[in-house]
Amino acid sequence: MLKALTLFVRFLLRLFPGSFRTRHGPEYLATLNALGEEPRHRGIVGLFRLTSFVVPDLLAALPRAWSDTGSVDALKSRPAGGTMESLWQDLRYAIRTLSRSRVFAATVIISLGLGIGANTIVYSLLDGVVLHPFAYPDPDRLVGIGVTFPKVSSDRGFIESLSPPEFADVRDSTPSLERVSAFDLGNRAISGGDRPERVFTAFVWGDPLATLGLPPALGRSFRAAETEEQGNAVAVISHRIWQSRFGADSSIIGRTVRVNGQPYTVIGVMPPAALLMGTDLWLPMGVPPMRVPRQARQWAIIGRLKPNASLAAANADLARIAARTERAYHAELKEYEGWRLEAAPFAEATTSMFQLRLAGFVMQGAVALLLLIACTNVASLLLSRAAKRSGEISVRQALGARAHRLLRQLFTESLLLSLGGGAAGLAIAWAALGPLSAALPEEVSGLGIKIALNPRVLIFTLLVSLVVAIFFGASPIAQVLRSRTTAVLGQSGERSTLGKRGRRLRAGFLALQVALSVVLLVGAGVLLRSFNRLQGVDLGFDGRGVLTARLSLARETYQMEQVGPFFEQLTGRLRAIPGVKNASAATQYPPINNFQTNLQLPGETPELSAARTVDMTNATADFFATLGYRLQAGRLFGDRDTENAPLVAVVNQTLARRFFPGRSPVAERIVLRSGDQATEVEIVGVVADVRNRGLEVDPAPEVFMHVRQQRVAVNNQLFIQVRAAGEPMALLGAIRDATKDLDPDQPLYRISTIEQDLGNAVLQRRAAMFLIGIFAIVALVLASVGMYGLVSQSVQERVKEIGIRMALGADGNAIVRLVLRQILSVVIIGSALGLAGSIALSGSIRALVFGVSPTDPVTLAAVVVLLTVVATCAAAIPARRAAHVPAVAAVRSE
Amino acid sequence: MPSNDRRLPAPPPLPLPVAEFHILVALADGARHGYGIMTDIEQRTDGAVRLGPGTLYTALRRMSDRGLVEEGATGARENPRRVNYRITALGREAAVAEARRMEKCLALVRGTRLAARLETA
Repeated sequence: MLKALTLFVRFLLRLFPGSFRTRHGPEYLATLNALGEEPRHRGIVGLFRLTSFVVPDLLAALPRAWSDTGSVDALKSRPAGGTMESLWQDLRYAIRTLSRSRVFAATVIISLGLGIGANTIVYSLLDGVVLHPFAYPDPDRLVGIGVTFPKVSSDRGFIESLSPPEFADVRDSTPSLERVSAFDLGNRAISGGDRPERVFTAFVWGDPLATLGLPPALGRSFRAAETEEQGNAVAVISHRIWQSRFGADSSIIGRTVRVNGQPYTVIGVMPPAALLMGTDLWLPMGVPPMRVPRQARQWAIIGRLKPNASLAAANADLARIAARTERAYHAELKEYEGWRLEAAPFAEATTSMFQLRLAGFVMQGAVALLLLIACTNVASLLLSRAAKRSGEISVRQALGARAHRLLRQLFTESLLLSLGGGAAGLAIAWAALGPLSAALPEEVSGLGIKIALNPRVLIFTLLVSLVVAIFFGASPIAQVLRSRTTAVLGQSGERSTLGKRGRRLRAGFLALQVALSVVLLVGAGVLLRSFNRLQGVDLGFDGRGVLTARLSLARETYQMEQVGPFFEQLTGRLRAIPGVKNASAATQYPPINNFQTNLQLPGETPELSAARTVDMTNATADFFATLGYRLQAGRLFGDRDTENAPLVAVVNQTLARRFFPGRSPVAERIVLRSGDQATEVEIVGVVADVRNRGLEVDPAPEVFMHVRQQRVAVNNQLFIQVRAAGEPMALLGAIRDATKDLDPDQPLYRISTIEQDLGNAVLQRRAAMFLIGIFAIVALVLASVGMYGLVSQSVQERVKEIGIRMALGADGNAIVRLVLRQILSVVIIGSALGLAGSIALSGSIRALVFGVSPTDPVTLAAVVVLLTVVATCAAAIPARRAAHVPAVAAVRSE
Repeated sequence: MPSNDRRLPAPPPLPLPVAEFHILVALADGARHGYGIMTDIEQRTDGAVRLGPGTLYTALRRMSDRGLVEEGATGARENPRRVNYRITALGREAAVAEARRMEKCLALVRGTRLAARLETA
């Protein structure tokens, strides 16, 4: 906890003259540390005590530190009462005033702390994951090349989207870009250590390290020519694998490691920051890009803007290339029609993969609303305070204080409060960020993304605090300006009440607060309902208790026809493990289907099939039984479906319904096409649908073939699925042993359970719901505090009126109704505004919502009811108090 | 005596700022580092005077600019961030002058009817 204070103090020290900082800065921090170790400063209360001791002291010392330096000698020579002097006075005066009303100050600081803390947390997330995820130099000039093929899909692809000849075009014909390189991602088994390990690998053209702008930590990176010639068995390894696997041994350069059994010479180690998409091993492609077909689109292209080039210039270059390529090739390659190449900042291009941008910005919007609520609370507190102090202020005016000095005085107070709130917010954020970054999903943390309070976040928090000070400081100032009448002195008897305008302003604040709470609550409610809908989705299969892992058979040692038998043999062994109910292997499994093929129906021309893609899975016969697929017609795979037997396929219900409406597809013959290759198969069975593309998407049509008969979407890397009787992860050791028995060089990787896969799929949604839910609760609490304050203050102000009413015979209930009517009218106006706001903003969360409308009427109604109940409860206590005001006391209160 | 050959600065005008006076008193019996000065003042005054570190270091800098204190050898052995401060001859002179001034003030009060209240307070 002390660390947060230290961080804030460090920041404050930056406001001091440089000479002071260099001379006393370290000493100051050492002293602060020593203070923090005193028993009275331990724990959360102690920290509060220490903060309220140290921060005002430091702020008070600030003007003195400046006035002591020679640089402000000019100021010193002014007549007494120069700017620095009066600033110092303002500050001292503000500190004194605030320390006289500590409860008020604490309320304000905590309210603002919650608001600013939430903003700091979300901004740190946004900064760490979306805005500045990578520690590359000059990151804004590092670009990724995105591509859109409108003929195929409207999505812009970045990773695995471009072909080698396209890379060569970009490299050779964009004058605005330099150091262009390309990479394809894959997995390789690396050995030459204790055990083989599967590592995430990039196959490159050019030198990605140069593109990233980083020098190698050891050795050298690739030379461009080296990546195009055959036979350069050289490798660059990541810093982390150098440490974890090779013990940070600097003699690694020049040593030989085995990659999929082949010897490679290590020529360099990347610096720690260079985690390109999380890859640990870089290998040269070893072939000229122009020798690879144009349709082999599995590369990503990165480059740097030349020193004087703009992003627009790069995009103009890219548009020229796209147009040229379209003219030259669109006759044979239809997808080039209207295709677009665009450069985007690398961080933007890559993090769009995680779709975190949207959630991040929605979240930032939500916390901005929260801060606005906190601000309105504080503003109405300050307003009441300003009313109470109007007496003091008129006295000071009468004594000759100029208006601008008074205003500056009030503003200094606001500033001090908001900086205090900023400090509290930093402390809250600091406490929350540790657990939050530990909970980051591995796909994100594996990229080297860190979430922490960094200078950018600190500056953000400071800016927010300043904006907050201006926002909530302005309204009481305006109020004071208006009431700047000499008359105030005369009527000092009523000095503690707000004028009519002030009261309206305060009711307006409250209505605004209610409106903002409605927006947040509706957002949280809609997300909650979407999440419930998602949990209720019938997957169509049973994913509980199933462990999955991937295994890639090295092409160097296994022929394609050996892949099927290997996995059948492996699953046979897995089934023999005690505690295993069933085991299978497949190229993909729900909810993550990636492989597809084109489908040509009986009697159709091949051209028609180009527009029709279906999911294509190669699986062992037990796949359906292991995952609990239900057979609806025909049969599943059996022993007779050997490698050379007639080719057969099982299809899912969606495929059957869509392409064979009203009849059974069993015994029909279909053609599966990919590129020039056509494979005719007979449908032998139909299985019930499962959510093969994830919870949120309707099942896609899917074709299954037996691994022995792999012809389409052929793959040498399969996932195994092991259904356990008990806890699936407990079987991992036995599963590894069984695999090792069959081939000791083939490591299992990407180990997970289907339940985890499903959980990851909804992770973003769950995080968004959780955070917005918390923010909504905080908003509700702040709003109810505001309502309580408004009602109790207005009861206090109306004691006389209430007393007279009671004296005239009104009973308690009538008084309660009177008070409640006032608050409920504010709630109704606020809710109406809030509902309008929710509807206006509904577009921004549409993408996060599933199965309900973002303006779901049930949620809207529930939120309004909830707010009304909360408002009634918050108002009930002061209202009851009002009902028990003795008439005489009320009349005497003047 | 200060070991440098700088011209000895003039004694500061009285009254001394409260913080500076207490710092001089804390250093009267030996060199201390910043935190030591803070705790010494607090103990000596039974908690009535408590300097914050910000006040302390701005005061120390001013005082060393004016020659009232000097930075002694750093305790580099244990912690390079702990600078020891020592009172200078000028500092002693200033502290005594300030105490005399206060003594005179006290005598002034003693000469009036306020003296009776002084005893009971």
